[in-house]
Amino acid sequence: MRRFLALFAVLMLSGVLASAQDHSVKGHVTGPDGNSLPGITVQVKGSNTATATNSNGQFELTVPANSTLVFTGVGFSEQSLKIGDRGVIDVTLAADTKRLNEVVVTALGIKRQARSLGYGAQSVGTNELNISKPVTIGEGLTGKVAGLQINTVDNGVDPGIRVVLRGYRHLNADNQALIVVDGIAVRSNFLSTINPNDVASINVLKGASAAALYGVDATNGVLVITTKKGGEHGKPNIEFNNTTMLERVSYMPTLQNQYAPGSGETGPYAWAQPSFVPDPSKAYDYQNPYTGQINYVPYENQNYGMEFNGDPNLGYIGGPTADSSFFKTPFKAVSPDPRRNFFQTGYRIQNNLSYSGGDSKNSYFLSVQDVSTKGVVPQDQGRRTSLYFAGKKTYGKFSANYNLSYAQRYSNTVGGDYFQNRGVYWNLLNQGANVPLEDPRLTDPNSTFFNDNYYNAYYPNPWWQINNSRVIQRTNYFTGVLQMSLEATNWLTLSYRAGTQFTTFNNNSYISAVNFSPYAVSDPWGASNTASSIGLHKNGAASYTNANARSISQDILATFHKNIGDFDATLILGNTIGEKPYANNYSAYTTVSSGQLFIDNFYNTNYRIGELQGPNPIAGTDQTQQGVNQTRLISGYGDLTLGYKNDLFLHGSFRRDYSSLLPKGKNAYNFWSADASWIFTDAIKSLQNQNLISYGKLRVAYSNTGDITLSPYNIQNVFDVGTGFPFGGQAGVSLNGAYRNPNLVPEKTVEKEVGLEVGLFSGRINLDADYYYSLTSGQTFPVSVSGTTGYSSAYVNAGDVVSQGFEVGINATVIQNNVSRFKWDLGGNFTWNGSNVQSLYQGSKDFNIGGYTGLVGSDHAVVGQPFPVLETVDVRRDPTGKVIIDPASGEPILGDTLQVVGQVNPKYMVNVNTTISWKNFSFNAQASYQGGNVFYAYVGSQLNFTGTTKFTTQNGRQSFIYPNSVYLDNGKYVANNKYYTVDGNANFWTQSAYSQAGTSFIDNAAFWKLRNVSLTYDFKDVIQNVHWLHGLTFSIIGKNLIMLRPSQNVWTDPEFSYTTANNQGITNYDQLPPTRQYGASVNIKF
Amino acid sequence: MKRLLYINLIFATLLFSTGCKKGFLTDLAVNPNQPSQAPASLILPPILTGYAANVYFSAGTIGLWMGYYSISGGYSVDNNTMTYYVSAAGPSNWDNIYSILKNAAYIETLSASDPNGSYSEAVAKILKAYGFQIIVDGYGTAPYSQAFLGSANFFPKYDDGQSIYDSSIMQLDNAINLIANAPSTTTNLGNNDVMFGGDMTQWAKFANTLKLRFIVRQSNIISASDAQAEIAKTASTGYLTEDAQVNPGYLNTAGKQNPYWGSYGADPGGSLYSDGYNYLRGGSAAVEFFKNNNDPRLFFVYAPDNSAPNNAAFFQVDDTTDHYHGVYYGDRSTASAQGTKGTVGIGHGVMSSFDAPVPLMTASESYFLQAEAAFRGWISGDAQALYEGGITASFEYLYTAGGKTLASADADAKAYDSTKAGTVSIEKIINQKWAALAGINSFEAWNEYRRTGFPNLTVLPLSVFPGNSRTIPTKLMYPTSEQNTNQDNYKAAVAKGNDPQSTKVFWMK
Repeated sequence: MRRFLALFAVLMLSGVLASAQDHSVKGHVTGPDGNSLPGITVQVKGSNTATATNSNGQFELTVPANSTLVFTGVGFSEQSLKIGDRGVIDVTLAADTKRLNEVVVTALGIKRQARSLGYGAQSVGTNELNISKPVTIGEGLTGKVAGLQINTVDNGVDPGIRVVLRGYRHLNADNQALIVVDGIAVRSNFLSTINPNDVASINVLKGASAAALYGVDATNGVLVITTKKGGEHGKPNIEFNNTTMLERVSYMPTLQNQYAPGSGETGPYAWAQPSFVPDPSKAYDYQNPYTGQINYVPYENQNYGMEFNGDPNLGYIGGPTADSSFFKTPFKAVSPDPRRNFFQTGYRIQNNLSYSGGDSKNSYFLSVQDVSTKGVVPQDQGRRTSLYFAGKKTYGKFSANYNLSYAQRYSNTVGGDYFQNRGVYWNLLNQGANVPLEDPRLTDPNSTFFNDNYYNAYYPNPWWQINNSRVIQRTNYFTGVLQMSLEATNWLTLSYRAGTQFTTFNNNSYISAVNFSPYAVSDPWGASNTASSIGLHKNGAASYTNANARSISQDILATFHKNIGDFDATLILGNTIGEKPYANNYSAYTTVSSGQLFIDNFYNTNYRIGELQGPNPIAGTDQTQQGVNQTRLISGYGDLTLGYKNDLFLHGSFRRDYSSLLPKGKNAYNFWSADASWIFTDAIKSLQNQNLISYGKLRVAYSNTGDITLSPYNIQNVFDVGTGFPFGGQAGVSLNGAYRNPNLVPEKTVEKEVGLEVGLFSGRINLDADYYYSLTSGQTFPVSVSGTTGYSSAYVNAGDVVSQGFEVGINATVIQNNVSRFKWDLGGNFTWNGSNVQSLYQGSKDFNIGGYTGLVGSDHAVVGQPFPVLETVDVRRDPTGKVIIDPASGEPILGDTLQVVGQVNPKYMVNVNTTISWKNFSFNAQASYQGGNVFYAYVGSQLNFTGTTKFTTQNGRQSFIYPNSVYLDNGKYVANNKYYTVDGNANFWTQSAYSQAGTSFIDNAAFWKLRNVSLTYDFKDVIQNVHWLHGLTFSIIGKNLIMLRPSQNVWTDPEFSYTTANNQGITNYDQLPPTRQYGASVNIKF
Repeated sequence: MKRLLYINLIFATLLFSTGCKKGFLTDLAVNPNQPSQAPASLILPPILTGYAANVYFSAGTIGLWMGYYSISGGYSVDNNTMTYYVSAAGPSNWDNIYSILKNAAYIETLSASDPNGSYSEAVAKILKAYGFQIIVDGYGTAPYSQAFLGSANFFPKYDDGQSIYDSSIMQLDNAINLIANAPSTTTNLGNNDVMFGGDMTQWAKFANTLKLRFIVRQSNIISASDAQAEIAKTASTGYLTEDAQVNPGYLNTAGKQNPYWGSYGADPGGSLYSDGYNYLRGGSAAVEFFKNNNDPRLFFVYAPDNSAPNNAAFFQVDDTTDHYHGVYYGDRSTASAQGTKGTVGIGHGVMSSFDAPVPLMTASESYFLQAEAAFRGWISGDAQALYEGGITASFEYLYTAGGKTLASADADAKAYDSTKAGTVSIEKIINQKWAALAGINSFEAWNEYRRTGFPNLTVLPLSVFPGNSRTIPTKLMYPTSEQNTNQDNYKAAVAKGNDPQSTKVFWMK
C-alpha cells in the first residue's frame, strides 16, 4: 500500500520534470529498524521535482542548489533536510506511530494492519535478520524476538537447532514452533536450509492466539516466513555477497598437564612382562606413598598415574613393538596441548548472488547461494547450495506470485570408532598429556604406531577415526509455491495458494575394516586391549538410509471487505487441505545396514556375511527397516475483523479441522480465538497531538486451540514380528505392548494474553510488553499400565500444564543527529517464562520424558514443578545441605532416590542489541543472557573418568577432607575435619559416591554471550561516481566472541544438548567444544 | 502465461475435488507399517515360544532354592539372592506371562467367530489355562476376569486363585470338547503349531494332563469325590505319553537359539555368554541325590567342570562319579568356583543344543501326576507302574537329548526302578518328580514342594545367610510395575499378609 501511494505521488508530481541541472543528489533512506525503505517519496520542497526510492531504499535526484528535500512515506514521519551542496544524503525516517499502518503477514498468509492485531507478534525484516551475515535463519533470528528461544544445540558443520516460543506446554510432543514458509508448513530442520538472504520478513506469531487459524498446529506459535519476490522500482539489480568466517575452538575444559597415564593402580606395576620395567631396582619418587608401588601405565587411557618428571627416557608411548622397539618421548606434557591442537581452524564461506527487478505489478527475484564449511574437526565438511526463483505478475484484477527453490545440504563428518562406536571428542579426551598426537608416527597410517601398536590400549587413534569412519548425509529439497488472487469486486477478493515440498534424504555411513597383527592380538603388553578383543580382523560396516518425503497443501480464501461509516469489516472464509505440518504428510524410508562387509574398503551391503533381519532386529545384527508415514488434514475456517474508527479492532477466528490421525467420527474438532486491539492514543482526544505518548495500544486475546500430538497410525493395536521370529520359514506375530487408545481426543490449549504497545517521545522509544497464560490439558501421552491389561503402556488424555510469562521488547533511538550523521539505537528484550505441571495421569506425580543413558536420571514432568525438570541422584546431605560422609571411607554416600535438581529451560532470557552509526560506519553488537535453569555436563563426569582435566587435580591426587562435609556421630551431624577420603586419586574421581552422583556435574546453566559483533563501512561516497556500481559495503564480523558463565561450569556451552527433542538440559561428549567465529563480509550491488 | 494460469486453476480444482473424495482421511487410518490384524495361526507360534522361554526363567533363582544349582564362587551375589529375598524387581514373569496371555485371549476371541476356528479356539483356551496356572501358582491372586480389557479397564481387579483355577478347568473341558466335536472343515494348524504340528489328539491329551495338574495341585483342599468327578468328565481323552515340546526351528543366530542355550550355552560365535554357563554350578542337594542313588541321570543333568557348551567334551557322557561335586548353596568360598573342586555345570541332557526343543510339560510329569492320582484313588490304574513309568520317561528324555539310544535309557531305567525306586508313596513320587524336573522346570518343582513339603528340608538348602530366619518363599512378590500401575488393586491383594513372600497360595496346606 505504501509503495502504491508512493508511486501515485510520483505520477502526480512527474508532470514537471527537473530541468535545472544544478546538482545531483544520491542517497539512502532507512527506517527506524535500519531496513532500507523502498517507495519513499523524495520531493524538492516547493517544487514538483520528486522521485521515489528504489527497492534498496536508494534514490537519485537532480535538485537546485540550497534546496530542501522532503521525505514522505506512509507509516513514517515526514522529514525535511537541507541539502546544502552535499551530493550524498542518507536519511533515517522515524516511524509515524500515530498512524502505524504497517502491514504484516499473519496466519495463513493473511495480511493485516499491525495496529489491528490483538495478540503478540513481532516482525523481523531482512536487514535485521542478516545484519551479522548468518548462514541460517535460526542464527539470524536468535535473540531478536522476546519469547523466542533458539538453541543451536551442537557445533559442527551442520548443527541441529531448536525453536521454541513461550516455553513448553506439551508433555509428550515436540514443543517447537511451527515454521511456515510462504504458506507451506515445513519442519524446523528446514530452517537451516533456507538462504536468509532470500527472506523478506519473518513474522513471529508468538502464541496460540496469534496462530489460532492454524487450528491443531497453533499451540506452539508460528514463524511466518515470507520470501522475496523481487524489486518494485527501476532497473535490474544485481547483488553479490561474500562472507568468510573462520572458526576456532574457544575453550575446552582445562586439561591437566601434571599427571601421566595410569588407572590409579596401587597394585604391581602394570607391565605384563617384568623385563619391560625400566629399572625395577630404582626407587622412583613417583611411587605410591601408601604402597610403594610404581604408578605409570603407558598404554592407559586414564590419567591417574605418577607426576611427570621430565625424564627424557621415561616417556613411553605404549609398549614394545614386535621388534622390541619403543616409542619414547620425554616424560612430560606436550606443549601446546595436542588434544586441543587436534582441532583445526574451520571456515564458512558464503557466496551469494541475486538478480532482481521489476515494478509494482511484475517482478522477479533470482538467487544462488553456496555455503561451504570446513569443520574444526579435521576432514569434517559441509556444503549448502541453493537456487531460488520467485516472481510476481499482475493482470488487471488478477495477480499471481510464485516461487521455486532447490537446495542441497551435504555434510561429511566423522562417525564412531570401530571399538565402542565412540565419538572422536571422547577418544581425544582419553589421550594422555604426554602423547604427541601430532607426531607423524601417530598420524601416518603406515606407521606401526598408527594402529597396530597404537599406544592407547582402550581407545582408538582419533586420526584413524577421522580417516576411516565417516557419516555422509545429503538432503535435497524442492519447493514450489503458487499464489493467485482475484479482486472480483471492490468488496471481494478470492485467493488460492498451492504449495509443495519434496525432500530426499540420504545417509551413507561406513567404518573401515580393521586389521591387527598376530603380535598385537597376542596382547604383549598385558593390557587386555582393544586390538586383542577385536582379533586379527574386523569387517567393515556400512549403513544406508534413503528417505523421501513430500508435503502438499492448498488454501482457498475468500476475503470480504466492507466499509460503512466508522465501521470497517473484513471477513475471510477459507478452506485448507494439507497435512499435519509437524511432519511431512508423506514420508517413506528404508535403511539397510551391515557390520559384516567381507571386502575391505568396499562399502556395499550386498557384499556381506549374514542374513538381514527386520523389522525388529537384535542389536548388532545386520538389518533392514522400512516404513511409511502419511497424514492428511482438511480444514474450514472463518476470520472476522471489525474496525471502528481505525482505533478499535475486534477480531475472531473459527476453524474446524478433520484429521486422519484420529478415528472416523472422532476426528473433527473446533478451535477458535478472539482478540481486541485499542489504539487509545487515537481514541482518547486528550492523548492526541502530544509527543510524550505518541502511540499507545492495548490488546487482549483469548484462544482455544488444540494439538493432535499422536504420530500417524496410533489408533489401532498392531502386531510386531514375534521375538526371535522368523525362525527360518516359521513366521509369527505378537500384539505390540503399547495400547493404542481409540478414544483419544486432541489436546486442548487455552491461552489468554494482554499486551501494551507504546511509542514515547515521537516514537524515539517503542515498548511492547505482554503477559500470557496458557493451560494445556488432556495431553496425549503414554502412561505405564498394569501388565495385566495385556499391555505395558497406553496412550491417554491426561495432564495439565500451565505456561505463563512476560515478554518485553524495547527499542530506542538514543541519539540521532542527521547533520553529523550520528545515530545510536539501543534495543533489547526480556522474557520470563514459568511453566508448571498441575496434574498428570490418575494421581501420578511424575512422568519420565527420557534422557541420556549416561545420566542416572532424566528429564521429568513433576506435578507442582516447571516442565521439564532434571531429576538425578545426589549424595546424601544433612538438613542444612552439607554432605554426609561415611567415616569409614571419608567419602560421600550416594542417595537412593531421584530428586528434582532444577528446570532445564531458561527462566529468564535477556537480549541486548545496539547499533551505532556514524557517517559511513556502522557498528552492531548483540548480547544474550539466559538463566534460572540447570544442565548436566556429561563430559564432566567422563573427564573425571579419564582424569584428563585440571578439575581432578584439585587435591594433588591425594586424600583430602571432603569440603563442607559432616558425619553422623551419636545421632548428630558433626562437621568433618578429620576423616580423609581413602583415596584422592582414580578411586575417588571414578568410583566414589561423589563421582556417581548426577548432581556432581549438574551446573547452573546461566550465561552471558556476546553473540554477534559487526563493523560495517559503506563505500557509497567512494563509489558515487562509478555508474555501474550501486553499492559497496565491507564488514568485519565476530560471533560468540565472549561467553561469561558461572565458575562452576568449566565444561561446555549450556545451550548445547544431546538432542533436539524435548529433553533438553543434557549435554554429552558428542557435542564438540564451543567455538568462536570471526571474519569479513563484502557486499556489492550492480 | 495465461494458459499456464488456467492449467494451474484446473490443477487446483482437481486437488480440491480429490481432497473431498470419500476416504481421503479414513484411508490413512490403516497402518501400512505394522499390521493391525493377523490370523490366529501366526499369533500362535510366538505364544508357544514365549512360554518356552519362560520355562527356564527361574533356573537362577528358584533353581537355587530347589537345590539344583548354586552360584559359582567366582561371582559376587547380592544379599537378596543369598537370603532368598526375591524383591519386587527380582525374577518376575508376571508381565511376560500376561503379555503372552493377551495374545492367547486374542486368538480365543478371533477364533470363536470363525466357523472353522475350533482348533485354534481350543488351543487358545488350553494356553490360557497353562499361563494362568503359572500366574496363580506364582502369585496366588491375580487379575483374570477383568484382564485384557484395554481402555475399558486399565486397573483390573484381582480374582482369587480358586476361581481362576475353577474357570481354567472349565476352559480345558471346553477345549477338549471343541477338539472332539470340531467339524471336518476345521482349519488344521499344521506347522504353525510348533508344539504338536497340528496333532489335535496330542492337544487334547495335553489339555487333559494339564487339567489333572490343576486338580492334583488342589490335593490339600479338594475332596476325593470332587476330584474323581472332575477327572472322570474327560478321562476318556487320556494323558500325555510324549513330551509336549516347543520347537519353532531354533537357529544358531543371535536371538534365535533355544532359550536355555541362548543364556547358558554358547553364542553363535562359540563363546560363552557372560554370567552364563560358569555362573550356575550344580547344587549339592540334587548332585548328592543322584550320586547317593547311583543314578546315571547325573551325567546328563550335569557336566563336569572340564567341559563347557563351547567344547566337545560337553557333549560326551563322562560317567566318572568322582568328577561330579555339588556346591551347597551359600558356600561362598572360592573353592566353590568353577574349575577348582570339580564343580559341575548344566549338563547336555537338559541343555543339549542351540536347536533343542523346549518341554512345556514332560511325559515324565504326566506319569507322575497319574501315579499320584491313582495312589489317591482318583483314577483307576497301577500307581506303582505309573510311578516307574515317570522315572523311565525321565531317563528317556535325558538320554535321547544327550545322544544316547532309547534302548539304553530303558535298560538303565529298568535297572534303576528295580533297585532304587522303591514302593510308591506321595513322597517317592514327588521326590522322583523333583529329580526328573532337575534343570528342566524348577518352577514346577517348587510348586510341588510347596504343596507336599517334598523333597524334605534336609535335602534342600534353606536360606543360608547368617542369622536369617527366612525359609523358602511361598509365593513370588508382585513386580514393581504392578505396584506402580495398579496400586489400589495391588494393595487390596497384599492386604491379607504382611510379608508377601510368606503368604500361602490357596492350594497350600
